[in-house]
Parts: sequence; C-alpha cells; structure tokens
Amino acid sequence: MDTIAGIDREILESFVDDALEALRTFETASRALETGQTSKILEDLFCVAHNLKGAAMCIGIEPFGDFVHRVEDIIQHMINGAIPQNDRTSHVFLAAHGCMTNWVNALASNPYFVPNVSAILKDLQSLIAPGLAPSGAGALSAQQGQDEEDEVELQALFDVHRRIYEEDMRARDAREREAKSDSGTLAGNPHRVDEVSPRFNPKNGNGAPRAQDILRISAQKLDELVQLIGELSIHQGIVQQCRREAVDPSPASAHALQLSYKLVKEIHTKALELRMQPLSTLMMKLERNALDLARMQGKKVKIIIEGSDVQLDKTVLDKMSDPLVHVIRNAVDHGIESPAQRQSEGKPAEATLKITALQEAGSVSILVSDDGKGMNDEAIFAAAVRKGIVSEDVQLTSEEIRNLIFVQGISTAPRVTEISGRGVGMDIVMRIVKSLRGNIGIESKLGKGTTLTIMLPTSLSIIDALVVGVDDARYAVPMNELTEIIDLSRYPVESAGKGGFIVSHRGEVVPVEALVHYMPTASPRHAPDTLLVVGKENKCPALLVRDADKCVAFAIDRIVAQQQIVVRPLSDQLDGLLGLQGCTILGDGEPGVILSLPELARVYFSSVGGK
Amino acid sequence: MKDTERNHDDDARYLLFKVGSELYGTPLLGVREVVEHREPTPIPNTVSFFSGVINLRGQVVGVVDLRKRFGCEASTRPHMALMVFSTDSGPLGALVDEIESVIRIPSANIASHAVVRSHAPADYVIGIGNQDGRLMTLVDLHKILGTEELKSTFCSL
Repeated sequence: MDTIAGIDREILESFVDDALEALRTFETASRALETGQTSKILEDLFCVAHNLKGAAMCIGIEPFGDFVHRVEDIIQHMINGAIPQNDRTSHVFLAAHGCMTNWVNALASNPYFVPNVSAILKDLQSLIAPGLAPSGAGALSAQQGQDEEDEVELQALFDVHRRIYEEDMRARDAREREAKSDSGTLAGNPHRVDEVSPRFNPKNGNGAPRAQDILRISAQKLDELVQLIGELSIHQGIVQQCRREAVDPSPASAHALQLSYKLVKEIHTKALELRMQPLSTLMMKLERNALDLARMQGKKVKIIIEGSDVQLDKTVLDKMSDPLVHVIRNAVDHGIESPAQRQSEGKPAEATLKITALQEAGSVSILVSDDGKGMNDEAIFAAAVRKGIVSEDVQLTSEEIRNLIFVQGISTAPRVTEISGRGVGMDIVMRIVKSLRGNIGIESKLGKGTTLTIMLPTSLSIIDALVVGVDDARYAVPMNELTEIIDLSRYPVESAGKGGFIVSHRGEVVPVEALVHYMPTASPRHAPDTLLVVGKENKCPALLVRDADKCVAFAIDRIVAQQQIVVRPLSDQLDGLLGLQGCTILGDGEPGVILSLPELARVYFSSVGGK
Repeated sequence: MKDTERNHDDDARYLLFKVGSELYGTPLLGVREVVEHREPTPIPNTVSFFSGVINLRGQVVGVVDLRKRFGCEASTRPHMALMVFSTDSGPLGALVDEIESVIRIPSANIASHAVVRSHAPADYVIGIGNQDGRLMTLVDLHKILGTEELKSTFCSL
C-alpha cells in the first residue's frame, strides 16, 4: 500500500482536503467574529475545531490535534462567556487559522511535520488568563501554572514527534543517498524542520493532489454525463450500421468513424470509473466510530484496516455507510468484552477489530472480524423463542440460528443501551445489503470471536439476468436471485386446494404459484388457476426461489433469453412497487422491468401465514 | 434580451394540445420534448392510466395516458403524440391526442378564477386562456405528473 510514514496516502490526502475545507469555514467564522459575536458563529467555530481535532487524532497526527484542541478550549471559554470577545480574540483566531492552514499543507507531504507554535500558543493563553482573573489572584496564578504545565507538556509532545520526524527524514535521506550513490550524485539536505515558522513549500509536494486540484462535482451532474454518453454510444452504433450499409464509403471517413467509435467507448469507460470511489474515507469513519465507542465503554480495541484502496460504486458506498457503522458498533458493543473479563479468560486486554475489504471478480467483500466473545447460539435461539419467531421444539443448525439475528426484534443483549440492544438494526443492515444485491455471511465461535462477511457487487449497473415471458409481457430476473429452474411438465402437479398447487421436487414439497397472479397483465391469456393444467408434451418452466429454509416456484410461460442487462432505477413514483426492483432495456431495444423474486417469495410466504 | 424579460416571455408561452375534443395548454417551460407516440410496455400493479414505459434513447420513461387520467371518452383514434416532462421524480411522458402549437398568452388574457367544469383535476388548472376568442384550459401538467401516485394497491392473494 502506498503510505507515507505509516499513514495511507489516500487517507492523508482526504484528511488534508477536508481539513482545508474546514479551515476555510473557520476563517469565515473568525472574520465574522470581528463584526460581531453571536453564539451561532462561536458554535460553528467550535464545531469546526472539534471535527478537525477528531480527524487529526484519528489518523494519528497528534501534535496538530493537540493544537486544535487548544483552540477548541478557547472557543469553549468564549461560549461560556469566560473570555470576552474583542478585536484581539478574532486576531488571535486568524493567526491560529494561518498557522493551521500552513501546517495542514505541510502535513500533506510530511505527516510528522511540526512547526514551532509557542508564540501562537502564548497568544492563545493570554486570552484565557484575563478572562479568569475575577476569581481572585490565587486562582489566576494556579490557572497560569496549569497552563504553563500544559504548554511544557505539549512542547514535549512536539519534541517527541519532531524527533520521530527527523529520524524518519534521516532514514529517508539515507535511502535516497543509497539510491543515488550509484549514479554518483549525493542527495543534499532537502528535508529540514522549519524552525522559525511553518511555511508551505510547494516544492516538497510529491505529486499528491491538494485541495485546489480536486473538483467537487455533484453526483447528479455525473449521472447526467454518463446518461449522455450512453445515448452517444447508441447513436454511434447506428452510424456504424449505416456505414456498413453504405455503398463504397470513403476510406478517410471509415477511418474517422472507427476512431470516433473507439473514443466514445473510452469516454464511456472513463465516465463510469468516475463513479468508483475508494473505501478509505468510510474506513476512517468506521475506525473513528469504533474507537469512540470503545473509549466510552472503557474497552481497549486495536483496529486493523486492510484494503481501504478497494473501490466501490458511489451509490453502493453511500448506502453501505450507515449499515457498516452499525455492524462496527455492534462488534464493539456486543462482541468485545471489557479488559478485565478478557484477561480473566486469558485473552490480551486489548481486543482486535479487523476491517478488511477484498476485491474479487465482480464483487467486493467487506469482512468485519473481532476476537470477542462470539455468538451464543443458545441465547439467540432462546431470544427467538421468547419473541415467538421460532417454536421451542424446532431443531435448527447453528448457521440457521445465526441467521436469526437478521430477524427484526431479536436481541440477546440483557439491557437496551443507547448504542444497541433493541434488536433493530441487523434486519435493516440485511435489507440494505440485499437491496444492493449483496449478501451477509456469519462465522462465529463462542469465546473466540465473530466474523461478518458482507458481499457487495462492485457496480450496480450491469447484471446477469434471465428474461422470462408471461403472457405477452417479458420480465428480467437477476440470475443470482434464482435458485433453479424446474420443468413442471415433468412432475405430477397436485392441486392443494384454494387454487394452489404443489409439486414434489427432490423429495421436497414445493408450492407452485402462477407468476401472472402477482404480475397481472392487461390481456391474460388464461385464468390464473387453470395456468398449471399443462399437457405433458408442453414444457412449463417455473422459477424456484429459496428463502432460508422455505422455497416456492413461480410458473412462467417461457424462457426468452439469458443476457447481461443494465439496471436503471424506477422513477420515484414507481419505486417500491411490489416485486419490481428496476427497469432495463432488453436486447431488442424494448424496455422491460426487473423482478425481485425474493420479494415475491416473501409476499407468498406471508400470504400463507409463514414468516 | 434581459434575463427578466426572457423569463417573463417563457412564462407566458404555452404548448397547446388536445385530449379527446378538449383543447388544453400547459406551460412550455416544463416540457422537455415532444416525441412520436410509440407503444409502451405495460408495468403490472400500476394505476389504469399509467400505460407503461418506453425506451427514449436509452432512458426508460414512464407514460401517463392523459385521456384516461382526465377521464375522457376513450376515442378509437390512436394517440398521436407524447409530451415528455422532466419532473422532480424523473422524466415522465404524457400521451395526448394531438399537439397543436406553441402560443403566447399574456396573463391579462387568462381568467384564473373562472369556474368551469373540466376533465382536468381542479387543483392544477391555472385558468382559462383566451386567444383571439379561442378558449383553452391551462393546466400545469408538470405539477400533475410530478405528484402523481402511480402504484395501485397490490391485490393480495
């Protein structure tokens, strides 16, 4: 992985971008302070400083975080009214802003960069002291003493970091010297801590894009671009077709057309790539959440993150943000024990929470594994029985039991905390993952830990689908939602009363439903309950869908084709239409809708009283 | 032309169309394009006036049959044209019998409080336009289509 001094380059870049943006807000607010103090401005300032501190601490740039913490303290005092607002305060804030901006710019290439901030710190302290004076001389001196102590402490911390930085730089110099000694040139002394004041040196950049080089583009504009390029491709195809049919095209135009075809294809690919984003920012958020929660609960957790350079479609990434936070918080809250308990069980007091992203062909897996207490099958089963979700005498495999955590309302947590324990959450996580055509797997060992594997498609847009026909309508069915296709004409189909049918398939009783029943067409060719009376000579395909331990088959008229389809969302007004998950353009250019078989299966199960 | 003037002009322009024998107008500003009618692919479990979806240059666009929506007599004459609107919830087409022309109606010639019986939903009627003695119902189709509920209740088994 591309790292600078142990910090992933992308995370650092993202931090620098966010910090510079935050600092711009800080500057605006500081200037607003000059004109008049309102609690709103102070709150903005406080919020910016607080977030900045958190972000810096999170990726391990502590000296900067500490400095921002000092600024935050001052703002806090101002909010409390302990420090009066005057020209001097906004002046000091602006000075601090300048210092922080230079600092962040320098951090982009040297995460260990530490400027000399004692002058600004003194300015900041001088703001506090007079404000606290009314409480008496004794208190003042005590406060000053405390401040001085703090300052010494901070300076010591800076010194440590500076030492690390210098060592790092010395090592780098040495490496460079080694590398260059072959060619006979000797590296000079390019890196030195700036002793006087932090100054941004544009030459020390190493190609990393800074905030100024990155454009923020709204996702909608991007979508419009992709849409237009899609249209362009279609027309390109038409032009190609015309050229083939044209009599004796000139070689020059043929060549130009060929080239433009290639260019359009390339633009299309590039435009789709723009939607792909690395997981790094999300990973950072997850880490911060886990650490915050662990600190709150007095747990010790070491977070290991791998694969933050793996890329996902923006839509997938956005939708997965909240579910992943939930999973991480669950792991810390339920999975990881207190340090004392861990030690009594012979585990190291510090737990390990590992978040890994793996790129596979066409999919991305995100693994969240902890070495906590693992899942207690008995407790989960008992909770499910208590809720009346399963009956007590059912025998379930431990895999089936673990899947119960995705059922709404089940929680083994003895008490409801503000973080989790209400039993809502995992069902929503599962629903979101399923809606993205992904899946979740659980591996757990009691006392050893739990690993949750979330599998997601890299891109939402292209899937393998089966196109099926019912009456004169055609539907696309994603292949991964289909368990198998059976031919009903090869089974004795029994009527199960009330218009239902059943077949025995591999020793299992499978209910058969007519798809046309769920997807009524304008001109039904036959009444739904006669659909299944088929002659032995006619093939009658049915789509078998399995949901956990239950299955149902949907009878269709014919299978039209198997093809890759581009998924397009339904318009808002049609979104959430039962059994449909999107639409697409079929091979012959006609639009078609994409069915969601699992959803139809759920409708069936709930209609027959199953769960 | 100054921006304000142009906006003012755009506001005053209406696209005239016919549903059955009634003449309607809708603000031109909301219309994205007018395309030839093509047979939509029906979508199950939707309201009766939703005809289905069409492929408009690679984009899937829903189509509302205005004759059914306004509850006009279904004439045997085939639909002639499709107006496509960019609503907040995506593009949506409206099937009409005939597209006439674009005209400019100054607001002075619009009777906004006229009480008339019309097939169009009353909430979206802007008023009655008068162009040289010819009267037409002005409706905000962009608004109608943007708020339309297209899902029908799924008949549970």
